[in-house]
Amino acid sequence: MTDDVTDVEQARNEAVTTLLQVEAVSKRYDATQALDCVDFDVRAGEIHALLGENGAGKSTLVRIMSGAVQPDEGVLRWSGDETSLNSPGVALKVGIAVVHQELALMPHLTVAENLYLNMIPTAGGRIGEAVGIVSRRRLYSRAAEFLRSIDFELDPRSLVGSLNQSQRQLVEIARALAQQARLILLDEPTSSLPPHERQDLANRLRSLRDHGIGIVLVTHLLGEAHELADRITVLRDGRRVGTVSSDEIDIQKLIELMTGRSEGSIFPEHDGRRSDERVPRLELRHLASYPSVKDVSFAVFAGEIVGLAGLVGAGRTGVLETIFGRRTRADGDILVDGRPVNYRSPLTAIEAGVAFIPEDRQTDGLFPEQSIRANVVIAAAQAKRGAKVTRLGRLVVSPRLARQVAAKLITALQIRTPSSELAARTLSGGNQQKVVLARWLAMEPSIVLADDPTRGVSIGSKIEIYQLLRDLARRGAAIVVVSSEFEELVGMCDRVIIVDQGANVAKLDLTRTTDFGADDLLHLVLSSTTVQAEAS
Amino acid sequence: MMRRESSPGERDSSVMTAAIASDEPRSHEASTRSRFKIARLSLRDWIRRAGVLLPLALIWIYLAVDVDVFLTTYNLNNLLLQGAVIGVLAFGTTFALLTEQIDLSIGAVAGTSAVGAAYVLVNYGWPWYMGVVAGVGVGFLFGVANGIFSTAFGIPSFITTLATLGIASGISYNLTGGESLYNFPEKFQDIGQGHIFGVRSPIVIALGVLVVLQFVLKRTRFGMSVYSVGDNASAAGLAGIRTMRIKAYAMIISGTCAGIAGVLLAAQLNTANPGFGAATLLPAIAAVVIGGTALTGGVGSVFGTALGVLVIVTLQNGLDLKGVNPFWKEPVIGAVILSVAVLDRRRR
Repeated sequence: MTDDVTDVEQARNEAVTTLLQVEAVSKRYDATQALDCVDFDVRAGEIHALLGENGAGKSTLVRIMSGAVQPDEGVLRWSGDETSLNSPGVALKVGIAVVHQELALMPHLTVAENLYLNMIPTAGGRIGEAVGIVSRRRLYSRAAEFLRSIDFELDPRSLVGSLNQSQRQLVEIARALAQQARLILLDEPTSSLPPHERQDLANRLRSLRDHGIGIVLVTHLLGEAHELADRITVLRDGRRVGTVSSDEIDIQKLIELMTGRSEGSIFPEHDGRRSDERVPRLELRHLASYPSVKDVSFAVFAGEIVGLAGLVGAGRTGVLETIFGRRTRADGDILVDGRPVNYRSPLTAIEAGVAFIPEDRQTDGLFPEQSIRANVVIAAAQAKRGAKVTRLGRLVVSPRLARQVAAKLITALQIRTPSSELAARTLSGGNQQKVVLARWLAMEPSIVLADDPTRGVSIGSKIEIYQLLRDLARRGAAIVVVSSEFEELVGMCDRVIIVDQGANVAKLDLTRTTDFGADDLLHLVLSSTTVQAEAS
Repeated sequence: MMRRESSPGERDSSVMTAAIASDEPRSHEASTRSRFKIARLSLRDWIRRAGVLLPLALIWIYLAVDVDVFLTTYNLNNLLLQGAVIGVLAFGTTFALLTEQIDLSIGAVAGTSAVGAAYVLVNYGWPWYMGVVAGVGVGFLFGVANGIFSTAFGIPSFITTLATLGIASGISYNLTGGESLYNFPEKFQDIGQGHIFGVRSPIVIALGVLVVLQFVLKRTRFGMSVYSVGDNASAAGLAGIRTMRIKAYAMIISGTCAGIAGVLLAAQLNTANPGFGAATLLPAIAAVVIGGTALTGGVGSVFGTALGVLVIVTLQNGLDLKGVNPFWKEPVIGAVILSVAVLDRRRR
């Protein structure tokens, strides 16, 4: 222990050195000035968060620092010396490694094999080295020793496929460190993690910092950046708005820096249940479905936004998918306007006025190669309800009607694109999410099931999505929202249902309480989980 | 296959060129006129098409300069006639590829359809139109089988159609005992040898199939669903599309087109032989791939496939005119498929 402490102190003392310095870097893609004369620097032993909306230039800057892209103008300095990072390979040799959002690990190999993929230790002797016979013994002992040295609690023999998301992230970070990286660029490391895993990863990152590693953290989560980072740099429209020490700024200021607007709350006002409603728009009674939903009951009235809180795996997504007919209901009842319904497929649910915004727009929402227009009208073309885009008994899609419907929604949702004919993959993440929302707005839904509707989108797009959902509610829709961000649930929802192990364990009305914060909800979720765990 | 002298118009042992051998010189206006006018195209379609058009133009210019007879109406008519059967096959199977499937059975099914049509005409003396019904029906049924097995039973289309390839070819050998069937009613022969508006009928039929399928793909709800299912099946299901049904329909279209191609083949040659279809699989799939349809689904068009067909038949025709050993045709097509696939990967 004492050794560790002195190590840490030593590292801290050396930490004044700047690892990488980016000076007046500019980069242009066709008509877009992605970066405009941006300065940035990372020191050894610091976590430096890089914030900005989609399209602010974060990813371009990361690509330049990792050698994937060459700047048009400007200079990079590594430990004070001018350097040119011609490729990611060169950057890695210098000591810069990137850990991307989508991890590049081999799930069928063990942790140790992933760590040393390109430098697997061979068995001794001439033959062993010449033929390249793998020495498993050496591999695992070396990996175990290395993981201990950086305080990572990972079993070198476990298969990467069996690890959870945050552990995989650690493997990737460890791999970078095994290759002598001194600066690690983390691209949205926590956006796909449940809260408790986020905390774990955050602790590991702090410990790495204390070992003298420099870390650049690209993230959408302001709270996380504020809590974890030593310094924060905000980019907007390709320019650096400012670099501040995180002690000197609060989250509200950060939002102002990022969006350039200085309005108050990012959440629209709560409305709550209309007093004249007696029968709920949607009611679940002891709903169960395989595999995660055991016993869920709650009601949502027209005009209300109800949140489902809980840990990942609690069955929140399962509840939404069961209502939408994507999973088969095993038990219990679903009532719409007081009448029991049974949607056998998404199509029947859609026809009945239900909309489902999936958690992962890449796998379940977007058609990347199809035009934005086709993406918007696709559901309307399938169902009898909603905007009319077909003719001749719905056999033929009318290009004129489709264009009109798409144009209206593109304007209404402020989807930023030069043309609705472009493929949806050309849009930024936030705009892609708005395309998926537009698809459901075209259906004029009476029930909206939104599974983490703001995941991975920038704060500006988030504000717009909150407003949209609230507008839908005001027009009389009943809305159920799942979110992993407790701040969002508290800010957006009128009521919150806490779900654990496939059953609802608590309900709270937020319209009647003031001062109920995200922390309170987190505590409530964690405590009801414990109760549940003890009971079972 | 036998060796042969390869001057234009001479009898060729390969099925496709044999079909052309008895051909008469005719105009080719219909094809050039219809090439650019079918549907409104997006910018990306244009770029994609230009990707095929450029090499196509280069080959044409080279052949026009190098080989005197290339630009004669007689030869161009030959070329398009050769493209008709491959085209109908390729147009249909474009739907299979667009929905992230593949249909390896089209060649064998086309052969079985030809034999099926011939069988009822020759052995039962049925009227010509029943021959058409039998031939196209055989293709339709194989399409239905392919569709059911690769969706309801969840077997990858690669396996399903490999199996039906074997079944189809086995059936046609059994029906004929390995012999050829010939001497069809004149009306039936007209389908392959007659003229519609002064153009050889297979060309007109192929263009008809092209126009209809392009319309289906670009303008109908079904076509929209085809693209969506191929692009992102999971998202398509959540948007209310019955993805399995769409995939099955795509296989039925592919099979039915193989049936039509089989009838054209039999009618052109006035004979049906169980080994017929095998040689058409490679050029047909090649045409779809060259035409810009992604093997991963969701990208491409029947129109692009038509350009791919032109590339393939121009190559075949050019090799014939240049007097190259016909045994080199298939290797050349294989090489073209590989280079297109490599270029496509690099472009992404």
